[in-house]
Amino acid sequence: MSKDLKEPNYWTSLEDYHKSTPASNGEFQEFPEGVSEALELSSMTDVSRRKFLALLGASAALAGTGCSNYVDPGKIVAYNKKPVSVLPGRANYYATTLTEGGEAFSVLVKTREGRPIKVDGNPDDPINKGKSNAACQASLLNLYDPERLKSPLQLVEKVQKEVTWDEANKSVIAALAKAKASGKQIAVVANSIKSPTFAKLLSDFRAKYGDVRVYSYDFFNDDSKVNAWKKSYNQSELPIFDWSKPKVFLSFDGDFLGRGSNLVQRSAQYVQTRAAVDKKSSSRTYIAEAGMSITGMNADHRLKVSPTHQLEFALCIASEIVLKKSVSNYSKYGTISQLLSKHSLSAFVKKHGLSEKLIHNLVQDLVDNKGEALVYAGDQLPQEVHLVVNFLNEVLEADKMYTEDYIMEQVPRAHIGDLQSLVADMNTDKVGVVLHVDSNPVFHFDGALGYSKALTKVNSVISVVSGVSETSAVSNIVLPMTHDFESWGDTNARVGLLNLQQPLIAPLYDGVRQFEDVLLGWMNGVYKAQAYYAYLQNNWKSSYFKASKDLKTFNDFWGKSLHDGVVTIDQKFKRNLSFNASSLNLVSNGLNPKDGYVLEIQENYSIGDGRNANNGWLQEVPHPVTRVVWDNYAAISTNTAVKLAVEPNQNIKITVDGQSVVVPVFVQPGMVDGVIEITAGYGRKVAGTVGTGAGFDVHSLMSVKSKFGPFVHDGVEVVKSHGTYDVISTQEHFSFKEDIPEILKSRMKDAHLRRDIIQEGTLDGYLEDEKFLVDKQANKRKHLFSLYEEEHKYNGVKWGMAIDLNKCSGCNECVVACNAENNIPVVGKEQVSMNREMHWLRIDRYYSGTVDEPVVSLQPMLCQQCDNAPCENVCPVSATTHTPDGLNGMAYNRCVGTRYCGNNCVYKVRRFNYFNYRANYEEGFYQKESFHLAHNPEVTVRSRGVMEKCTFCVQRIAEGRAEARRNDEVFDGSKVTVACQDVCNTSAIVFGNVNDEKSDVAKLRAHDLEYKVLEELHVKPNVSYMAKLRNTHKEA
Amino acid sequence: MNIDYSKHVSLVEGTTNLREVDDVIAAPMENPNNPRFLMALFVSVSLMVFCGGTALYNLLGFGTGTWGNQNPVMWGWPIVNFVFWVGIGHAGTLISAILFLMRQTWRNSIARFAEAMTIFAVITALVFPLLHTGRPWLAHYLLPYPNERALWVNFRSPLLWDVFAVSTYFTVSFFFWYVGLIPDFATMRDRTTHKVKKFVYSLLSLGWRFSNRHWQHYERAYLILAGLCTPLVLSVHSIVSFDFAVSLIPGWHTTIFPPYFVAGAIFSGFAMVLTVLIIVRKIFYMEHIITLNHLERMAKVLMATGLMVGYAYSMEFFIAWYSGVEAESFIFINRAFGPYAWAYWTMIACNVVFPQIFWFKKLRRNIPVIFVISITTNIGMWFERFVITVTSLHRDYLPSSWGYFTPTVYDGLLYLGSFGLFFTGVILFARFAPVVAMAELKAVVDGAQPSHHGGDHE
Repeated sequence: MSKDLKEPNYWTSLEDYHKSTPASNGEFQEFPEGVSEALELSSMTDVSRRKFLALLGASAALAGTGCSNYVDPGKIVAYNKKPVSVLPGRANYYATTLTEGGEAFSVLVKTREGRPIKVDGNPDDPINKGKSNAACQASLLNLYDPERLKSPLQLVEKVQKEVTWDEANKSVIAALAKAKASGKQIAVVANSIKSPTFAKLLSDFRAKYGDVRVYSYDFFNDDSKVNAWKKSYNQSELPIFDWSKPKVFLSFDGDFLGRGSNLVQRSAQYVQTRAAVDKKSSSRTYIAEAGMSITGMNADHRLKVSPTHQLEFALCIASEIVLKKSVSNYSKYGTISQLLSKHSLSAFVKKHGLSEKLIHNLVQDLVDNKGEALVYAGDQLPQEVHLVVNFLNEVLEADKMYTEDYIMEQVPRAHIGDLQSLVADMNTDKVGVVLHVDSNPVFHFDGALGYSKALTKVNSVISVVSGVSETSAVSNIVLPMTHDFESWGDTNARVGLLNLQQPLIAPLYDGVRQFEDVLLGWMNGVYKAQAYYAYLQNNWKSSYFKASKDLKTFNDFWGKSLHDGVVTIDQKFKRNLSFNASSLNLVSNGLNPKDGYVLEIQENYSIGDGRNANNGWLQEVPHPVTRVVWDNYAAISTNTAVKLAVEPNQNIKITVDGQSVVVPVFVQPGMVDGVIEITAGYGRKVAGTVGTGAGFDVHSLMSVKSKFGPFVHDGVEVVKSHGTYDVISTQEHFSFKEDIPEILKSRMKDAHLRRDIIQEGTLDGYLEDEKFLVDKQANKRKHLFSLYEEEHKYNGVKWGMAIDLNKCSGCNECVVACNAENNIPVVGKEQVSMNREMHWLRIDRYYSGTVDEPVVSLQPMLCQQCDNAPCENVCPVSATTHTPDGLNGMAYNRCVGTRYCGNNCVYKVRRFNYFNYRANYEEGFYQKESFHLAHNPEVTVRSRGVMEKCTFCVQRIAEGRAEARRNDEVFDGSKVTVACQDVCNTSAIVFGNVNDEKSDVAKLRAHDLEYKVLEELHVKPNVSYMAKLRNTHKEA
Repeated sequence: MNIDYSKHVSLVEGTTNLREVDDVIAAPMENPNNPRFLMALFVSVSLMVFCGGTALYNLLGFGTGTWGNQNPVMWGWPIVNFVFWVGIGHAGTLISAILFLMRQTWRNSIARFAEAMTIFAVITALVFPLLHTGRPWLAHYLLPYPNERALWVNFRSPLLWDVFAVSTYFTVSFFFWYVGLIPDFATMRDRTTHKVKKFVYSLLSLGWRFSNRHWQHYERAYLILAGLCTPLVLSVHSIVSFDFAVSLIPGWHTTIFPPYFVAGAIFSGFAMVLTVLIIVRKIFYMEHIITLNHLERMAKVLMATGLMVGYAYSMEFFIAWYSGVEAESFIFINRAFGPYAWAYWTMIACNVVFPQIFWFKKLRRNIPVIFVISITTNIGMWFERFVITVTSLHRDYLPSSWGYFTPTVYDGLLYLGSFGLFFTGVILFARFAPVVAMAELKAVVDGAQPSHHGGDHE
């Protein structure tokens, strides 16, 4: 240290100035010389004690830091130039639009330091009202997928090689020009197009290149429903039902809570009718189905009817209602009475072994609730069933429940017939260029239509993809496209509603371009980045902008649209609800199934039409019914399994029209005998590390010849095949297994009911005795006592959750949301087979009743944040401790992984990192750099050997508390929401401060239907469940 | 055979020559090139290095997931093995301390070996909880050491009690063993001519000169240590049982566990001592020192403790039924008839049924029979821990989370490796230290305690 620094020659006050010469003569110095000075090694003698100690300490510290660095912490680099509006550590939210499975979702995306980390519904969206679905949540993984194509590929000498964009564009323009010159068709094959501006762009493209035909298809579609509607009402647009109004629902194999479009809105509306908790009333739901679906699990009454008999069943119901109950003046329907008189419900009931009483009640309910009863049929059923359903709704005057809302298509959707003619055109060399825009027809239609063979006749096959696919593999040119979160765009998916799509992040890879920009380049000859942005703005300016009082200039309008994400416009359909009775004549011949097995191909619940196959979150989310992950399978009934002499996991060979596939068996309680249900969308062959080889491709079975439509087949041959295949479920399904000794079996059956894990009642029973559950629970609590005279008091905020089992449909969307929020790793099928899935939140499914007529109970299960938590006292290192606001906190860095807490948890909600799962899964696939960006920076990324579990999104609580402090508010917790609650379509999950009497959760905790699981153990859980009341018919 | 049990039985048969006692016991140490010894060492070291090493490499390299542990069954084989080895570590202290206090002089010829087995069994046992943690490199978090972050351990956790109980037990047992060894090390020092050996034995014998004062102090110290060890025999396994009993899991949450575990530990400890001794007395030609009478007495203890655990098994069932708790009664029916019924019935057969043949004198004096029963008891006691740990966890309260545990090859390799570690220790001990306490034995050979009865208490 230099001398002049030691003796400062500056002073700040006079006092300072006069005191500036310190007493150097020892007597004022507290410590002897040399002790209170800074350590200066060079000035010390060689044998100084201090030097020795200093060096010893330093070397120990160095050795310590040197040895302790077992994890590379990476680098944090500060912003060189801080972008405007980005404050490190604070999230920004942007509204944009996500197109997923033929639907457009207006979403609000949370971004941190410029990277999207969480997707939720846009609260300003009038349709979904802030809710979203699993695919939206998981779209983050698609964005950050390291296997996205990063550069154009071109087929050179039978091998796809990386080329520059300029080369690729040149080849494409040449191919287009050649097709135009030779008058050949340019086919654009896309999924359903919801963007009006893209539709306009396509028509401009057509103007430039001539015979451009757009085939926009959805693999899972409601074509048969739309066709039937067209015939019944002479209008191809069918109105959306208001699902909040009916009192009675009858569904013919229609999984309206789990499948089909508009699911988010429909679920939210449906649960308004299940208001046992709020209004002591509930709708009644009947479903007639073959396999077990989400709706089947939730229905009050479930009838087992094969998809091939649905038409007959619907006709019988119609006959009963119209002819016997004379609900409507059938004379106005002309000859229909003749048709209906041929069908007898009692004969049908007898033939198919249905309960006469139940059917009687069903008919009576429909008749009694005329005007408030809704009949629905599954999209996969043939048009004929939908015709009868339209008639039934007409008779029951359900038209009061039709809204004026419609789903919009910007380009007329292609049906399977259109694609058939495209294939025919390709085969006859009429097609010059096929342009696949983010679609995968090779995967979908290879078996049924021979699509890839036809492609070989086409000169130029161009695929625009995000990652490689079956279609891109057979293309001449493959072009990488941007993710929705990197793109500009818009959608008009609903009448009168526009959604704007804005990029939230620059394209992750240099070689990725927005397709619309590229297309504009093909039209103009020169590629220009952001060209579509200008095009979009121009289109909005001319089509949608109208100056108003608030929004005088287009810039104002644009800014507000960007901010809100949704814009309402003046757009209406003229409804036509005059029923065309003659349409029913189309069903006069009926549909008589051939002998043999029946195959029903259903939409799968998680990975869409296969497009999300490379998404680990969605692959690992369990099937809502069977809890199977990573696979599809052939679901059959126990009797069918006996008949085929197969055990679960045994491969069977299913043959339809000469096409056959080999699929493993899963024995599903409640299946109709003789029906095989398989979900489609699985079995991708070219999809990337995650998706390739997961499940079985059954698309080849979707013969176009079936009179029941492509999804239902009769006369199917099924034989036992060689070998087995492990179908992995997160829940054992042993409760119905036969080889268990009777003494044990009787105790396993309905264990969830006998242990009061699931508490249920009927609505009628509840109305008679509203306190039935309260008394039972109070009786239990009577026996609990504490060693302590006074229980711990929670002052201020105490967190709690209430889950309404009347509302929970078991859709699993909360599970995916939890994954996204809390950085939960994907573990892979093999680890799930060892019960090592990491989901903090799971939906437990229990069967009671019989194998043939199971009753399903569902229960979301997560950490119950017990007041007397059994996990806390057994942790030897205090890595899990109680927080003052009533959470079981987790200090991940302190955890050594004894796993005692996991054993002692009575709810089994703790999850252990048996490996570093990001490194373990597929050689570190989820450890790749791009996935780092997907992590929520507020949540520790757990490494191997650490226990983890739900902490009620404690990072959000902390953020809420900090926010309240910043704003100088009293923190009452009313503004904090948790991820599962945010996404829950049916608002079954309520979270909040139980000390605040006004909060929803406090009210629910005081409700008569409230109970807590395993309360008798006195662990004092803080998650309340609202007992499910089944609205079964009194006489059932 | 007709033995009059009221009559004193010679503890050492066929020799009254004190020199001969020394010679026989010192022989393994002085005859290093015994091929049987080298063979045994090779086998156990190979087990330790190859089996244990492979398992360890995978465990440390990849994680706990290389074992079969899974979500409802988060404790699997490692904890089973830990309890198994700690249990084996019980016989030694029991034999040397409790039987010493009870003046059971027959213990003298087997005490040293049993103690050594205790030491190595506890060392082996300690490997498991250490490796069992998800992050073994942070296992020091379990120790209450002062640190700048003021992080402290949780004294409410039974696992922490374990840390103290087992380490205390190990320390005290080790000193007890070592104190007993001092006079024998002195004997060895005096016998050997090898320079290095002389130096080492000199160091280890702490200047022992067989003086009267030394003996006096020695006897006092030994008695005090025996007194200290005695409660530890009961406490260690009681505390190990708290790992289970303090929890909330049906099948674990049981007040009978402490005595039940202690009885089980003695049972398994005696079985292991029997197994090893039967081999050792043969290999080292010590049949006249470790006599059939010793084996018979141990067989009796085996049967008695076997009955105790049998009582505990039945009492668990009774209480499960009597309590009327649904989950509790289910767990026990599930044990007997569920997917792990095979393990349960193996346990019952090995622990309760087979030892009953010792009611017959002929059989309990039949060495091959004793040997077989000692092995089955070892198997049975391993399964007892397996049944307690795994069957309780695999189907607890929520049926949604029930599972089935299957061990992996690494579970097996680590278990084999633990045998390697244990036997390597035991074999090296037999090579470098007297396997029978020379000094103590010489005190009980016929004629060693001259009296006016001529040495016999008739």
